Amino acid sequence: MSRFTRREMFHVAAMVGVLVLGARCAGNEAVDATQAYPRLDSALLMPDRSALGICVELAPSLQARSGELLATLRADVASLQARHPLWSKADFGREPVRMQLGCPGAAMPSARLESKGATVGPGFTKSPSPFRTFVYVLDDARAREVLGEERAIRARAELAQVDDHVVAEVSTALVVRASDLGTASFQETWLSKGLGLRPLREAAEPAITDFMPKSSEGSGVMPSP
Amino acid sequence: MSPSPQEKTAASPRGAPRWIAMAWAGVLAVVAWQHFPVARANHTHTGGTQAHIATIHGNNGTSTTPGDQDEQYCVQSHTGNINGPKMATFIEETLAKLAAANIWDGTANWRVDLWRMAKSCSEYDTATRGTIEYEYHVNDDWTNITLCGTSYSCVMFENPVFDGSHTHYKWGYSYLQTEHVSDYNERTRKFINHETGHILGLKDPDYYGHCMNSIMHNNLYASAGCTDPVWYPTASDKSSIVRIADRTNTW
Repeated sequence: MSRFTRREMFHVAAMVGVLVLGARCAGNEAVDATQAYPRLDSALLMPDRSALGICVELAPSLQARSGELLATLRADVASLQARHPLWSKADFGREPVRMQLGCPGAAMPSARLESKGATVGPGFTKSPSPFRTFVYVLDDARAREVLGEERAIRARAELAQVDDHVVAEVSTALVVRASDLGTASFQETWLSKGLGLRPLREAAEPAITDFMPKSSEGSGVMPSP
Repeated sequence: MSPSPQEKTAASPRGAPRWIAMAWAGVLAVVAWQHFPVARANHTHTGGTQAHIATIHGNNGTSTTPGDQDEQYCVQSHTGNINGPKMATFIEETLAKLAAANIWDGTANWRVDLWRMAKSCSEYDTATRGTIEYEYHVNDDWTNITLCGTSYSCVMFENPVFDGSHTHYKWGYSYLQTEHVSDYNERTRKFINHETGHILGLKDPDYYGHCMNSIMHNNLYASAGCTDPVWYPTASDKSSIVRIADRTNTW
């Protein structure tokens, strides 16, 4: 014997339906389930990166030396690991460093790069790779075209969404001459930058002199409120 | 003999029982609470994805000279529809020259200390440009910039640096649509202040109805049900910046 009428049962079912629909349609507008979001409490930058991953692209002329160059780069990383005070806090010591030949997108810069604002690699992606750093190793001829007078250049490799219309670099490209691998300046300055760590040694930045004084009046474009 | 269910239904009074009306009222109240834009007290500005510019943690300049923990910015127009110097002057006024209560400059005890560079961004050499923390760029469309496209102004962070507790960014770029800023009015200021709020670490509404008196939750987010026309950073916004600058983020 039922204690509820069919009409009452219909109302209860309708209420449950409205509640379920209401819950599904609210609260998630800003979250894209297919988008992996960065985490900034770690220098690994993506939540699914459990180890420091480094991928390496070599200029075609350097392919025959791949074993030697990878071994040198591994030694550079080991040296920085031993000396950088934030290595462990950055979560780079959580698991052994993973290094592999070949990067997503297989880009190899061939034109002049600026040291600010350049992208080398996949760019924006909804699924960033496991690699925190993409290292592009150039021979001297290509380095003259790409780097010019610069010793090395860091650039964006991958960008991920952090808000509705906000993206942030989550993987860094490091473009370097083969002849610079194994040097102190590469380990202390450029490799640190490529991993998102403060360099152990860095040249002073140029003094800032070309700024507008703050004491002047408003622009007059619009009256102050 | 008991009546059949059909007979019971037919025998029920025409009006629904009172508990059904009350239950419907409760259901509708719950749904409305989730959907209607009510003013809520909490900014969700302390989350783990709060990307921000690195220099807001420090202040080492003077009243006449920026230090390397202050923020320099440059402005660049990429379109003939916007006069670059005029826009630079308007952005400078919006950020630093209106009433103190209505500008970002000076926030967090001057850890937000904004200095406009004299020339447009592209006029600086690479080394000098590397010392400029923010760049404001204006164009008729930004289809070449992810998440901007033809109708949104957007922000990009570059050069992550881990400081021992969190990663922040050395450089930030604000890409403004011409249509959003060409009138040089309060709507223009709204966009400038909103995108600058992102650079400093503030977030957009997290969900429909996440509205409050904030430059990040104003009527630019009508799509989230927000109706507040505020065009300047509010006390609530500045309070959130203080928390970010203090590194008291809840990760």
